[in-house]
Amino acid sequence: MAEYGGWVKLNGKDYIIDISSYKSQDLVDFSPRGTVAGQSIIVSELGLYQVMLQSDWRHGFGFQFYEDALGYLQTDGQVDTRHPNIAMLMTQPTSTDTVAATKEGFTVFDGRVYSWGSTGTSISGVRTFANSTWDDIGDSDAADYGIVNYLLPTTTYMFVAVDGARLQKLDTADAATVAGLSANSTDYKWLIIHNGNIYAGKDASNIVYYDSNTDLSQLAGDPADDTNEITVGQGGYPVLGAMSFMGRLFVFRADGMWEIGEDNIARMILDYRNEASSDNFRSWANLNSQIIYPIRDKLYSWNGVRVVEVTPQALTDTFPYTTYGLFDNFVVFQGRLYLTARTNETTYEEHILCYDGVGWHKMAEPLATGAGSVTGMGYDSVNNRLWYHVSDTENTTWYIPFQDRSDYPSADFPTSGAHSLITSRLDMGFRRVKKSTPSVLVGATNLNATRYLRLYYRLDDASTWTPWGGNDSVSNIIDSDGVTELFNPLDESYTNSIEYNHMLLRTDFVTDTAANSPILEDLMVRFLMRPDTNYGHSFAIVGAEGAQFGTAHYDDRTVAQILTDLRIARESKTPVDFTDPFGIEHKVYISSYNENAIEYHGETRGDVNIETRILVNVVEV
Amino acid sequence: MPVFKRAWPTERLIKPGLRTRIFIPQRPERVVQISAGDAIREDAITKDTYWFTLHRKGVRRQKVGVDPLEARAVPEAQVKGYLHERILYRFLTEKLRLSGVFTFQSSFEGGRSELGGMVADFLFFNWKFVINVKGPTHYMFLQSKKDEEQEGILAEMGFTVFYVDLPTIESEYRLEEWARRVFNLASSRGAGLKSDTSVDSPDSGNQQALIDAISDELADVDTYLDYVIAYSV
Repeated sequence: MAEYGGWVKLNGKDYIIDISSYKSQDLVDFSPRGTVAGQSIIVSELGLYQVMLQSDWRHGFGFQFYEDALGYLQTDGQVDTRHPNIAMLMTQPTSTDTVAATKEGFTVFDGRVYSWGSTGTSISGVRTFANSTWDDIGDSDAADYGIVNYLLPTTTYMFVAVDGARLQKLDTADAATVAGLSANSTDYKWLIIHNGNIYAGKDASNIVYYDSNTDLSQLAGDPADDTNEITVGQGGYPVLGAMSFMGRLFVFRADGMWEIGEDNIARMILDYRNEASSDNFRSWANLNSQIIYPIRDKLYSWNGVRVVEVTPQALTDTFPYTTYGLFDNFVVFQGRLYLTARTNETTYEEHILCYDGVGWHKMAEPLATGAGSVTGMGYDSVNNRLWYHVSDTENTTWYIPFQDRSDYPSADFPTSGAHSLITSRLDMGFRRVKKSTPSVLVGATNLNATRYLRLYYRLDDASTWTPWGGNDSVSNIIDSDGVTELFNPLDESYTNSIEYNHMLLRTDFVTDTAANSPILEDLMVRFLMRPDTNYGHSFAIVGAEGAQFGTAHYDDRTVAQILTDLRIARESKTPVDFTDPFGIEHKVYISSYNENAIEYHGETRGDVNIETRILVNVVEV
Repeated sequence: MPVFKRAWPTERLIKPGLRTRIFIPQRPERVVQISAGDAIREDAITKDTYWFTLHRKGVRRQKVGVDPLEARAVPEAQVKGYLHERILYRFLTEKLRLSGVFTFQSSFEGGRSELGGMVADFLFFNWKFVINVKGPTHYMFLQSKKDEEQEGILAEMGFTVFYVDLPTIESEYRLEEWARRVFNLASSRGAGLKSDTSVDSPDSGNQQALIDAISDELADVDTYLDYVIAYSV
């Protein structure tokens, strides 16, 4: 049986120590402060636990780690995070039209909403929403319109760009007549008002015509009728559309953005020839004096001087990361850009996203089955609605109402489905240090027994969400206004804590009444940083020839040999083995080494024999 | 022998044409700075009991992390400037994605030669506006008048000046609201600041008239003292 108490083993050699000199001490601080967002201090308890606070989500989704006080990872379902200091449910969409025809766009003329797009059986390419129903609009021959490429409203007329056919105009009584100079005035793809003219681009062509007559009676459609046509570049790329921006007229092709100058010559402004694609410039919009446009699956913003990428960040924090592409249907109103985007998943989803110039927010999930697409979207300033059309196994037109005289969502919230807000990875600034959390506090309002929040958590690399407080479906519910503390993360039976390197919190929003939404105001996590503990050991080695402790440990090395062995251990670049007086083994470095001569004893075996006391500090690694 | 003049009628100075600019007097002598920390014996005041460590401030907790404010700032090695300027720099480039739209020059670097020596921390040349971080000295009388003068001169050059104070930069929420207004970004009406640590004293508004009156009195004294300092060097 080994005999302990008077010796240690260091770097493979035994040493007799003065046992009364042995000390051991923890080297790592008990609980250093974590780095959390600056405002967290206002919920400090001034006690043992530190508190992390998040009470604003306006920087939107896509933040994998909690480095932005106003960011989070993602939302599921319909959660509105656009407003300061709250997160709540978003207004649910309402279905209005299910006829078998695809709507490609929406506009407002004479106080009514109109759509344009493809046709169905006895379905016109132009339809209008009046008296709470969608109705067909007939053409100049009182027949249904064929496919319509574009509608341009003015005060007097709305021009109808019929695909492959003569331009027409509707008056305010929806009476249709032909427009344009002649029978050649056909097949326009887009129209725009700029510089006292209406410019019109031919479908699948890079030729643009223009006319200054209010009724477009002189708008030509063929060089034979108008030799002043504008040719936008060469190379066979058709002009997809146009935008009047900062007093200048810009047109878009798959190879870049061009400007039609006052001299009616088109010049390339932004060059994407090496990325020319049918996905380029699928849509565009002017947000806060910046043109936002897609190039393949990236989004860019151009302010007339500089291009900046504004593509939304990834939605998930694990491989394979879910990202957005195929940006389309750009609509700007109330200072925000709304668009549709498709995920990169095999069973893709299409979502309506909102960009406020800083953060991206998911507003709705129109498609989730990996089929179909959102074909058109438009803002209706008369009814204050965002209209969109979904074409998958059937065609459905939806709208999301917005609230008059308020920025907050209209009170028609979803009473079914999963609607969640998922935080970033809460790592408290130290990703590899364990944290211990006994409870969280949730600040919320507008709650009751049937309108509540539910809290779940996910630790480190886990893939499943665990209800806070076990699987009793009760402990994790917050259903009273104010700040609610949820204890016992593991189950409801005893006080406990969870330990993690990082944690994600998921808050579910549940309501049984469409007129009310639970309001999340604050998420507060109480935690202690709990770094791994290492110890330091200090002892004095007896450096004497023939020293003996007990019967098992006899040191017959000369003092010089003992010192040499210790210096080699001190010099070691790799950790050395250390057995403490209790017989416990550690990997250590010698952090401090101090030789103190005691008494001279002449020479022994060729070495000077000076009895020495050596103070040694070792630190565990 | 000091020469005394009447106080500057600053409102008349912010006009085009020949004029006298406000001169901010510099200290005639630099004060020798001694770090107070050097004079404190830490071991004498933080002695713990050998068996337990307890302070009235709570359990000792080492501050080993990054300063929350510094964590929001662009590193000084990358951008030379004061802490609050570097926080705003990072906010503008990373959150508002405005890199390349503005140029930055810290106020400690003097002034901009392209603006005739004007101080413009963040210059948005094409957007014709300037953001200046309003540090503590900007609330002193003479410096505040100097700010007014520079704002007037920049206005003549077509630039609008926006000021942002330090508490606004220190609060993520205040900075967010301020930026959304300056850059015309979407913001809800009645934005809350309930999570803000830097709100004003609740009763300060009631004393505003008194504060204004005292401030006016002090301003006159301050102007006189500025002259004394300026002309006695």
